[in-house]
Amino acid sequence: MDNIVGQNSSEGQIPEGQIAEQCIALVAAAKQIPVEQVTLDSTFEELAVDSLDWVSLSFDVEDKYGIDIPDSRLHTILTVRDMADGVAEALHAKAEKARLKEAGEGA
Amino acid sequence: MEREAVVIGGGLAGASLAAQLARAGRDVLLLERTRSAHHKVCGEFLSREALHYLSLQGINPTAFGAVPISGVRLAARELIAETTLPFTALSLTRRTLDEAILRNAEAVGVEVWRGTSAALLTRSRELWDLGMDQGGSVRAQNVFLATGKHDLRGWLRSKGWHNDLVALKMYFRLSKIQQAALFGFVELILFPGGYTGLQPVENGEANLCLLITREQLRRLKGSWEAVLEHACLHSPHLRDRLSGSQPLLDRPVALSSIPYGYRAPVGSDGIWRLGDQSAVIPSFSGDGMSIALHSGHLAANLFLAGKMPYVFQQQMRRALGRGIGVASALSQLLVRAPVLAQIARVRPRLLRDIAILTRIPESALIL
Repeated sequence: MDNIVGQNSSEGQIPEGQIAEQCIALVAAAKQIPVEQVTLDSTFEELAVDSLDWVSLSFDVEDKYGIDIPDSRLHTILTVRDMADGVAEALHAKAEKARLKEAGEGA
Repeated sequence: MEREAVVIGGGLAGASLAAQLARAGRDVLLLERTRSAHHKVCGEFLSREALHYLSLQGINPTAFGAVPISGVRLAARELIAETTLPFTALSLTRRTLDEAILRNAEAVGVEVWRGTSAALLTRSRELWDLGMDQGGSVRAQNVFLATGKHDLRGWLRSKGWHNDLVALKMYFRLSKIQQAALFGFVELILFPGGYTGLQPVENGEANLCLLITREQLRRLKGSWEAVLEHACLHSPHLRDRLSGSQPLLDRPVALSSIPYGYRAPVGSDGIWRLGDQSAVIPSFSGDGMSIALHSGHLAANLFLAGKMPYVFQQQMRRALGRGIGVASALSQLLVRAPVLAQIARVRPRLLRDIAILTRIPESALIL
C-alpha cells in the first residue's frame, strides 16, 4: 500500500477531514460493512470492533500512514473519531520528529 | 475530594496493594475500568511465588477450581522434553482470579469505583489531580499506577526488548483423550514465527495463549483461523492436542505491542508503578502474575514504612533484573532460532533450570 503522508499540504500533513474519511473507510473494510454505516461518532462497541479487529486495523494504519498506535493507547479509542484523532496525533508527532532530526543534522 | 491513596487499576497488582493498605487502616480509593469479570490475555500460570502472595491475602485458588500443574513439556513438531517443575503450580483463569482479589480488597475496606478510568494525571503542588474519563476528578496524596497493559496518557512506557509479538488467547474444551494427556502439565509449543502455551484451567477447559510475530501474522492476513492452521501444520503435537476440541470463545482475545523486557526506570516523579507498569516479563516464564502480586505487596510494605517510590522501583529492578533479562533473551531465541530448543532433548533439566532462573529470588519475597 502507498504511504501517503506528506502529499497534501506545505507542512506535509494530511488534512484532518481526509484522515477522518480514511479511518471510516478502514473500519468499514475491517468489519466488511458498507461505509455508509460508519460515522465518526460510531463507537467501536456498537460496530463490534474487538481486540482482534484492532490488531488488523493497526496493521492497516501502519501500512497507510507509517505510524503505530500501540494497544496501550487502545483504551482511549472508543469511537472512530478517537481513532482519527489518534492517527492525526501520531502523524504530527512523526512529522515533528523528522523536522527536529533534520534541524539537528543541518546545525 | 482528597484521598490518601488512589490506585489506578484493579488487577492483580492494584487490588493486592490496595488490600494491604486498607488492612493497615489507610484510606484507599481504587479505580477499575471494567464493570465485571472479563477475559485477560494471560498464560494463567500461578507459580509458587504467586501462590505465596495469594495465601497472604487469604485467597485459596483451589476453592475456585484451580487445577494443579506439576510438569512442563517443550514441543515443536513433536515433544522435545518433559520434566517436573521444582514446585507445584496452579492454573486458574484471570476472569475468576481477578474478581476474587478485587472482592477481597473491597471486603477489607478498599473503596472501589468500577466502570471508572483515569484520563489525566497531573501534579499540583503536593497533590495529584486525577481526571476521570467518566467526568469528575479526585485529588490524591499518593498515586499507584496499576493499569497493566494500558498506558495512561502522558505516562507511557518504552518499548522493551522484544515488542514485535502479538498475543492471541483462546479457550478450548479438549477431547477426553487430550484432556487426560495434558492433565497436570503446561506445554510450551514452538512453531515458525511464534510459540504457544497450552495448559488446563478450571471447569475442564484449556487455555491456549499464543504469541506470534507481527510479520508472521501479516503473512497470515491477521486471520485467527490461519494462525491456528499454521501452528498446527508445523506442530503435529499441537494438532493432536486440538483434534476433536471445541473453541469456547467466538473470537480470540488479542493484544499487540507488548513491551516484553520493559522495566520502569528509577525516577523521581513520585508515582508508584505496579505490575506491568513496573516490569513486563515474557509470558512463557510463568512469572508474570507472581511479579504483579510481588509488586503490590512490596509497594505496600515500603509505602507503609514511609519510603519513597524510587526505593520501591530500585528494589524491583534489583529483584527482577536477572529473571527478565534471561526470559527476554530466551523469548527472542525461541522465535528467531527455535532449533536451539532441541538442546532440551539432551538436557531436559534445562526446563527446570530456566523455570528457576526467571523466578523472583527467594530472598526478595515479602513474608
